[in-house]
Amino acid sequence: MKGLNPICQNTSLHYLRNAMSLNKEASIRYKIIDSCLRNARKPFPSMEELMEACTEQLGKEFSISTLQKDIKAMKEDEALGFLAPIKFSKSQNGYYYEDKAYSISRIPLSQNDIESLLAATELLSTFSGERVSSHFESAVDKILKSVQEKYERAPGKRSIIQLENPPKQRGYEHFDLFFRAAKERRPITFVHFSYVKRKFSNVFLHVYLLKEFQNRWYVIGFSETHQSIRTFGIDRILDPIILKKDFYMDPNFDPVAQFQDIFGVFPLRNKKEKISFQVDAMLGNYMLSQPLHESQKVLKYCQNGELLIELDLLPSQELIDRFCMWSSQLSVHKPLWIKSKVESLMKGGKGEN
Amino acid sequence: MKTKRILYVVKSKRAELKQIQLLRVETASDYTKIDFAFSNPITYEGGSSVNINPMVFIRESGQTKTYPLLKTDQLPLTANQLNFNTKQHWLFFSLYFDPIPKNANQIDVLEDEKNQLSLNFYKIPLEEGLEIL
Repeated sequence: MKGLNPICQNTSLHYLRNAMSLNKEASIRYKIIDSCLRNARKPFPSMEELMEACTEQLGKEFSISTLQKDIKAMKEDEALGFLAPIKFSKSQNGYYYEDKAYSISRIPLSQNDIESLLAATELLSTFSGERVSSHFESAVDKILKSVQEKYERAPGKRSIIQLENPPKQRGYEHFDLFFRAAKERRPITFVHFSYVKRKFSNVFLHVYLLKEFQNRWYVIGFSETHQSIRTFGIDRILDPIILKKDFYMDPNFDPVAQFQDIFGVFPLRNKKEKISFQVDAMLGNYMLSQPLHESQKVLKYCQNGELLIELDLLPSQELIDRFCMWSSQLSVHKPLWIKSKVESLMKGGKGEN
Repeated sequence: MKTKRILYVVKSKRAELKQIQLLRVETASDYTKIDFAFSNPITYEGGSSVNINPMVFIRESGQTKTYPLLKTDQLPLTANQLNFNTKQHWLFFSLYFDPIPKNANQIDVLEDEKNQLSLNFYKIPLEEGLEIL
């Protein structure tokens, strides 16, 4: 049918929406008729054969007029949305689809739908490959293929969305294992390499959450080894193994609360603190346009454009790193331990205090 | 029929040998896998290299029967070697041997008992084995 482009069998929202309002039995008959018309081994089904098929599958008999009405509705009912290209062949004494690729279980899409889908596939494509494990990639890939094969972009049309697509992180090959362990609630064990201590250790972890922060992935869970909730960068996890052992779920663990009050993933202290710092006018613009954390408040707008900003959160390693990165445009006021930590790091120290 | 694999996490001090640490032993019906890690110390000076003599074997401590090396993972066999020229370098590697008896509770890993620089571990306890899924 011209103007309608079929893709993605059996997932039609359009079809489902209409089918909901239909008589359920009629919608089943449409499917039966559709399946008869697409049956390559028995082409050109006659009216009698369509009736037989409906009787066989629904366990009751239907009149010729019912089936004729069904075919008419499938062909012409715009509200139903099929506009099926059904024809009758006198020579074969049976019905057929003029467009052999047609099926009512494929999505009829408008031009707007297609444009929206193409935009969505550009976004989805950034989640395949490096950013999402093979576990999800095949699903994403199916969607991409089904859309892109049917609706290739016009030649010369350029891509207009480009998201960050960082190089693959070490340890990413274990993403599926972590996901499975969390989903199936199985503890894991792995060898952990600490970059700071340069030491290897065995860790037993009950994985609760996989978290991405600034293009790096972390697993969070209850560590039997440390007897507390811990976060591990997957790049430091070596040879994880799923164990046949009981899973422990910490009743106090709340994944939302866990990361609500922190910028980053590694808290340095367990209590929230008010952290104030001054930034120059340029950095101030960036911080106003995208706050570092939802607790961010401007305490003072200075005459020269500088801002005095306050955060109320758990101090984290990532926050300290960010302050160091901006040190030429930012000075920490409070608390003093963060101020001296940043100053020490900027002088080439290790930031101890 | 899937064979049972048991993992022993090694906590003994006897599993630490200079820069090399023996971390885990995995037993199965057709192999014994031992995981090690190597890192240059913070106080690193000069270069170092690692490899393994293909004659390395394991045995149950106090027994004479030996179980030869089947293969290595991430570690070259002599005369090849992996060079570590900075303290940045570290390595996680595994050695696979013939399967040891199910009831073994202590093993030795021996590369060359006469050479102190060799990979020789004695009386590594196999305790609290955990079944791998």
